[in-house]
Amino acid sequence: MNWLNLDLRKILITTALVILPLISMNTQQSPTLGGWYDKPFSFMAGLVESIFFSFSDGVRGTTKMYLDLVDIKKENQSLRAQNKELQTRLLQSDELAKENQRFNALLDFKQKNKMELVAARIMSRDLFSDHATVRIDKGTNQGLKAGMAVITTEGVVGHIFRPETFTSHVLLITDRYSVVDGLINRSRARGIVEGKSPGGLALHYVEKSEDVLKGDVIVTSGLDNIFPKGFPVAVVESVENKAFAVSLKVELRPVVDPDKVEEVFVITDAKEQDLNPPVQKK
Amino acid sequence: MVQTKFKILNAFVMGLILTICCGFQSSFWFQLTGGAPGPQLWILVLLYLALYRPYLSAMGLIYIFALILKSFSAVPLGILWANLFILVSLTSFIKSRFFWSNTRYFIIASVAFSVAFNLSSYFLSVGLEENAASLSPFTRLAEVMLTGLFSAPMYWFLLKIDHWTLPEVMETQRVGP
Repeated sequence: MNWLNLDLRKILITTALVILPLISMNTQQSPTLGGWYDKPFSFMAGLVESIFFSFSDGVRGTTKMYLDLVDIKKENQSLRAQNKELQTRLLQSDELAKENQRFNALLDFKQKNKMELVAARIMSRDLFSDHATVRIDKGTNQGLKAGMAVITTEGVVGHIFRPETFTSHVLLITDRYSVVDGLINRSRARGIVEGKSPGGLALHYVEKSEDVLKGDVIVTSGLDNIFPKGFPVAVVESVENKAFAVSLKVELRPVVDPDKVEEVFVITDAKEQDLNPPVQKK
Repeated sequence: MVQTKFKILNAFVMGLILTICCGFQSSFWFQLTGGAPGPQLWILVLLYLALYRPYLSAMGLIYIFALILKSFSAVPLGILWANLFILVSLTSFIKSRFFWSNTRYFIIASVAFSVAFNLSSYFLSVGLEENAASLSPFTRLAEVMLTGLFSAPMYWFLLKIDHWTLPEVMETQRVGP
């Protein structure tokens, strides 16, 4: 009996569509945690991004080659052919030297540390500008797991939150969902480094009596069991001591600019390494 | 029965196109331009479905496609579903008031849909999340404009896909640029 002449099927479907997001929001333990239903989609996303990554690598190479050729043509008008060829070679070798220097620094860092590291390249970034994540070209096949730290030679980048077979999704420290337990290297004051997309960071829960100055370096405390102790995270940009606030308001700038990173290391075993011995408090 | 098969094929092809669009934006665009804002091509696919499918079919399909979007991001599924529910319902409401099927309408709708997406993401984040998203108007504006730029070719392409995979439905609806 349907006295009100309502389409019960449509009402049921619409109710389900409204309830689904609410159930999902309430049952999800962590915003970055995925369910079993995510697996095939994440795998497919990784595959598609791998294809685009290889393709764009090729396009970039070709574009660079084309631009080099255009440069040579321009120089041809003013210089002799022999000189131009030599200059182009010099440019290329400069580029190679820079690349070599970068790889040497990475190799040096890997050799000097006791930690077990896996080198990876950044393939893609988050689809939404509200979030700061990247995908790297290494996954569970290379021994990567959720919660492993991702760093560069300069400092902390983030941690793996969704590992796939051949790729992994990394939550950058600048993402709103990211928190890192930090210490001010000079004064050893403690605080929680929280992401502020896009690109910023803030240090929370620092007691008002603590000594914090602009330019201080924040390092990892090692207590979160993700990052090794004493690794640079950010630099203090500004400190505000408001009269009625419970703690200091500290704005930070990340040591590593996530937009400029190309290669990263994933720490597969930190071996309890302390990278930066405590500085004596004055 | 034949029509159901066509509809399933069409949904599959649309899902594939959505995945490719997401991959293009997150990987290809990122590799070529670095941190510069990119066009939200996925928005155009979802808008097309919201405009050219019945409300409940579009909503069901978009809820499934949200799983694809989620795999390219750290966005929680609940927030994404809530956001898409608002957008598709809004599109459907506006569509019932005024709608004409051509490229110009799609371009205007894509800009409006993109603006609405950015606004609803921001307000949902402010309302539901502890550490809310920042407004970042310049990034969002650039994304909206780029989305508008890409909307005409995408509309043409999606129409072609519908003509190939849903010939009977397209004939009865008589849609075209």
